[in-house]
Amino acid sequence: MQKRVILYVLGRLILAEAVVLLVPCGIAIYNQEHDAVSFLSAAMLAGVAGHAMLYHGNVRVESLSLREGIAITGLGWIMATALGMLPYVSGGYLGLLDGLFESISGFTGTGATVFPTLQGVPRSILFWRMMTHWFGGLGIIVIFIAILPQTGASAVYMYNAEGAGPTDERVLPRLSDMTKALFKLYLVFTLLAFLVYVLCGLRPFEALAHAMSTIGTGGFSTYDDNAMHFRNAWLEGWMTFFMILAGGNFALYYRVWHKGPRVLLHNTEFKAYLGIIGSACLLITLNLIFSQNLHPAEALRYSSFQVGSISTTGFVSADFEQWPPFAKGVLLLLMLGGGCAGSTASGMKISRLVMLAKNVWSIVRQKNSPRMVAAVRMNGVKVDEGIVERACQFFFLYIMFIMLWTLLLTADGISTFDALGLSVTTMGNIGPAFGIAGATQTYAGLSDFTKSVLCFSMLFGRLEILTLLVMCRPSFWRATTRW
Amino acid sequence: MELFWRMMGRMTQVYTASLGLPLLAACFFREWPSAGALFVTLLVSAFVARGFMQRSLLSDRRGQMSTREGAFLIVAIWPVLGVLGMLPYLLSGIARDPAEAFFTSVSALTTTGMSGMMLPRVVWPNAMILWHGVMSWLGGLGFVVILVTVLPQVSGCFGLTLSARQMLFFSPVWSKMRESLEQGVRVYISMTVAALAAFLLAGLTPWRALFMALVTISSGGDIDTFALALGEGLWPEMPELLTGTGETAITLPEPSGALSLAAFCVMLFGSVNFLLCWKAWTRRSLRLLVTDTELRVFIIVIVVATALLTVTLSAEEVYGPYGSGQALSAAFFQSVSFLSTSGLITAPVWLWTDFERYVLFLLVFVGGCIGSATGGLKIMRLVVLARLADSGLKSALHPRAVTAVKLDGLPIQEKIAGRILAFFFIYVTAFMLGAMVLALAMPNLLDALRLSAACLTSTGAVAVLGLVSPAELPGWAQLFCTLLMTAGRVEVFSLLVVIGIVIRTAREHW
Repeated sequence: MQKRVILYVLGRLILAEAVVLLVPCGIAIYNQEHDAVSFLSAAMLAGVAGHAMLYHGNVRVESLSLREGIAITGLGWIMATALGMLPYVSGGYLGLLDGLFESISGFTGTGATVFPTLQGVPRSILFWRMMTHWFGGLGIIVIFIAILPQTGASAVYMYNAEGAGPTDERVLPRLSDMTKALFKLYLVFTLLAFLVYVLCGLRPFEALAHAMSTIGTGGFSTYDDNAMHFRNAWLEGWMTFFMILAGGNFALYYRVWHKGPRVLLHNTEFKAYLGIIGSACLLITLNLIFSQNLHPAEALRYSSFQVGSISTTGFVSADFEQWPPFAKGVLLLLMLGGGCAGSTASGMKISRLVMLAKNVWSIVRQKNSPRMVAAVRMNGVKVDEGIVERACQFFFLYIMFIMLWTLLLTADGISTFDALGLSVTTMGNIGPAFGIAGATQTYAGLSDFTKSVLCFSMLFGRLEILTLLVMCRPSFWRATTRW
Repeated sequence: MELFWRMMGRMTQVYTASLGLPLLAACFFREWPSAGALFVTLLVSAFVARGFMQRSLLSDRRGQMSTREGAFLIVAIWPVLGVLGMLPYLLSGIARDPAEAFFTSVSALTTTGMSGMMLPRVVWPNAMILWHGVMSWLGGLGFVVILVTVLPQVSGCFGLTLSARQMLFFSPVWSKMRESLEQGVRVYISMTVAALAAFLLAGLTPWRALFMALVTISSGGDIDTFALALGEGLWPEMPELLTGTGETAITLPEPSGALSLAAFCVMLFGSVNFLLCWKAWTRRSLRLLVTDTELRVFIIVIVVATALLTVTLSAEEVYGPYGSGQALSAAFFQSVSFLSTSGLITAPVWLWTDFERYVLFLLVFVGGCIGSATGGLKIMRLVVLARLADSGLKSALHPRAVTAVKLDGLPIQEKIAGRILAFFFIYVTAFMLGAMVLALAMPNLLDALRLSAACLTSTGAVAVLGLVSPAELPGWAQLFCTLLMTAGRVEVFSLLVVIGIVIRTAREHW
């Protein structure tokens, strides 16, 4: 374990965040809000800490290994979220735990808010929430690698540790090139969403805020009643489009950019993703039409928005608390599934689920024709058995953690179904759940114990469990070489 | 398909023979409508058995069972016996429609134990109650038979071979199959006899002791099993009567200490690996049992669950005077009951807090040891899954390390490990999709999840944690439940294998 390198890289990360913190500071100064002081002091604190760490750190060490990569990513996320809470706390809006919760919820793209109401909250704070979404969405580490050149091989490990999905496929051979490409796409999508939202009639600040939240698949809004506030069918349609877009694989979009849209047809995961969203949408629409006597067009409008949102982002345009149990069940499954690998959405990732289903089917086929060599194929290419096995293990761990969080939450007195919903939604970094944290509720009323459990849940979900779990092993921190 | 028909015929013959027992009871208790119904069923099933045997003679003899045959056998046996089993209910007139009769019959066969009928079980004729017990026992027997003969070949059994190492030679050859079959059946029967003795010692009358033994050893109990055994007044139709206004006018029948203890022990032994018991018995070595990892984990799970429940129950003040001792015994009994997927209860679990009910809900997914008639995922597989996850963490840290997952000191083959992982996925998926479909007929999703879990893990009592009685479900939902129960009993995979075969043949023919 090369502790000094970790210190060095983390120092740079924190310095970068200090710079980022100056943006809302600028907004605060422009709007003449007193929060400028708290942003500035947070930035200064970050700057000082970063410099101190750079001073004690050392980059001139060869042979960076997997451990450093994992440690940097894990600790980087923890430090970034801890810094991110400073503006909330020092501005006096939230307490320490609430601030941390809001920050983690922002960076992980969950969008679960503990602000009881957003009325009267200054714009700079609102904007900072959106910025946490945006930076956490593509990944702090990805953006960090894209903007600041990294030395050493640990960048790959850092990248992989940040929830990169089941396979480590690259569209560009060099990691820095690839992260740059992803970042550019990310910027373009955000700008596009911003323009479309403006055209749909949002004011520029709102449009930018929602664009960042959408493309980062976060779910924070500048209004208490979220997307319900606008009552604008066009806007909802476009938001649905962008949410679904952001739930797709960004590396795939890069390929589409270069090779044309035919690439999409050959991508198993993307087809499955659209298929799942389409069928979920259809099922919920039918369910709503028959059980609530909604007009088909209205049912489709609400179901498509909620389906697109719940599988990725967590905006709410209808109170799905009132929906029939079947529709809620579909939403719950969508929360589990999440978006595609390499997207800004979390959850189990569609590619894993496709792999698992195909794996089961290949075993069945092999039983029927014992001499057949059945393999799992994705995009027409055979998938390595180790990858399938890791996907299976991930599924197991994911379910186990949901069960564990639910157990802890029910122990805290939350009713079983609400607890299950909360665990699934925070693990999948979605945002709204059912019941006490339902579509029209915030997380403000939950107890401290529940909030801390959910903080862990969000981090575990965003970093795909393994990173944090590995860091919990004592052998991780022991030095490998003693001389 | 010779062996398929022969096995089906044999099973139906056993079924026919066992119909004699409730028939005897019907005559004994002078319940003539039931006696008539049972007699007609006896004739029908004897006829069906003869048909199966004749089919087996017509097909060419091979003495070896193909996967195809095995898969069909495993899946077909439940609906066929279920249809035969629902006849007495229908003919004697206690069932309103075929759906609820079929539901109740399959529920008994798969050792789920739920009753789908509007008529509460306590007012059923004695012969019908006994028939329910007999079916449950036969279901357990059928499961054990399948487990040691066909299932290893069809679905790979997902780890049974791990536990029964060196003692069972699984083979598709009939003569070999018979050997292991005899072992399994012998253990099952001797355990039933022991259970009968235990209940007799606990002071039950012979009929009731027999009923309890049949139901408990096959883990097919339900909330009203104790009420049936004690024959106390009217059992509440469904617990919502209690939760509604908070009036607790209707109390649970309180089984005596000896009876609870007997039931407790039988459930405990019913969820231990039968094959391991056989092995320990033949080798006269207790060490085999003591050193078995699965058994140890089983006990740890019980202890942990009991501890959790005891702590919260004794802190409870709402539901009545639970002293620490009472809380401990209630927690102990309920955790064993749910872990063994039997579902006997001695406490009003539907009044417990969400946390306690959730613990019970989780326990049914864990299930008993592999190689027993319990449902759920089974301890063995969870142990392997946990160790695999741990080794996955290790290899995430040391990508080049060669890690081996071991159980009882022996490494687990990668293929088996992969199968167990796939099994977990398919089990969870079946559970969730089942709940989704049931949600269309239920007022809320949690009850749908509970009912789905009840069907899949064959623990009827889980459904009781909610407010909806299976009797209130529409007919299609009850039929869907029977599908889920069957899927749970054949460990989902076999069902998929059959579907795979059907798809393939359909493709070949069109």
